[in-house]
Amino acid sequence: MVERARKSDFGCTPSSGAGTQGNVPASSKQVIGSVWIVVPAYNEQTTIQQVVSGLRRFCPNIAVVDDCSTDLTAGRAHSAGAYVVRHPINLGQGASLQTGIDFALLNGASCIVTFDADLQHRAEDIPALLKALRETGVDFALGSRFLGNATNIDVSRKLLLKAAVLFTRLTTGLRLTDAHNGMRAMTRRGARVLRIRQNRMAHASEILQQIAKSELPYVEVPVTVEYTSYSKAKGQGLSNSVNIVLELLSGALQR
Amino acid sequence: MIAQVVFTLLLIAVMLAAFAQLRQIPVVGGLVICAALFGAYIVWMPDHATYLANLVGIGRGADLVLYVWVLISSAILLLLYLNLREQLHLITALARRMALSDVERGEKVQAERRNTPAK
Repeated sequence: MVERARKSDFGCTPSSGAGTQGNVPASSKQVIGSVWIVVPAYNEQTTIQQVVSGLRRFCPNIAVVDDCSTDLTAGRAHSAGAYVVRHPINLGQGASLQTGIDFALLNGASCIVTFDADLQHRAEDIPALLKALRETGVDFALGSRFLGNATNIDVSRKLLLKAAVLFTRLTTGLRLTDAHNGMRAMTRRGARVLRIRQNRMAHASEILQQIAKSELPYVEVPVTVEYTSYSKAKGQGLSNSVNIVLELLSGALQR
Repeated sequence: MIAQVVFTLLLIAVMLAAFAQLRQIPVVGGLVICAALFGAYIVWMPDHATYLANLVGIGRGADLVLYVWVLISSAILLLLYLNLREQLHLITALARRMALSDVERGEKVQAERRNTPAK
């Protein structure tokens, strides 16, 4: 049994009865005013416990979407106090995000934060994202490592990310400094606009396309991304970026 | 004449298959239909094939036919790929529904356990 905080230090209220038993919410009743953090995870047994514990210092409602991991990710996330939604087959990070967003919306989330499971994000940045939503009245607060910090980033990765920023500007018209940051917060209205169809890594670009299309207001918030050898190994390389472009083109042909 | 009829039937089959996909995949479906119509045109008007080939800088009409055939084959492959992606979207929706209902089912079981008095 997991003991959960009743109210965090930035006004994040737990979902009704959350965490009293195992990995499922004790009630599916909608609760207004709750923040949910969605963490897509695939074979992250070495980091997931630390990630969930870190997040629970700020918010009790953590939804880990286990993308059919073959290791102990689901069990460790559960024992760390997260709600675990488990895909029956491996679908990809984009699909996991959408599942997590759907789960959070079903549980009455008023705000949803997306957060990576590879320890490259800092839970301490979440209050700033939520504050941006609350104080500026926007529907999306997008994390930017180039407004904040990107520690231990390779030059090649930095160039790749800058190219992604340019690509985003050309294809969506959004003027961002960081186009592929997995840390973002959104209001319920914003979350309901998103319908991620890119199951794999092209979802980040797709989300921005949908934000641009929705014309809902957004703001960038400085965050820190800490690159470790683990997160670099899990991250995207040049070959992935080619796949992303191909997936986006295929998606465009389908509509 | 026999070859023309056979090719025309094949191209009609291709057009029907593309037409069936037109709603889901309009761009590629339209491309396949156009290429197949053009194919049918040069099957029945081979003299025009040579003229058109010269017009676009291809030496012989037979080469133009070959290029059009390659175009149709590639477009069909793309159509199949996009169709597969559409199936993947359906599988994703199904898997998502299963994942979410598993959570809901677990919740009900736990609620029943809590409500059952201990013997």
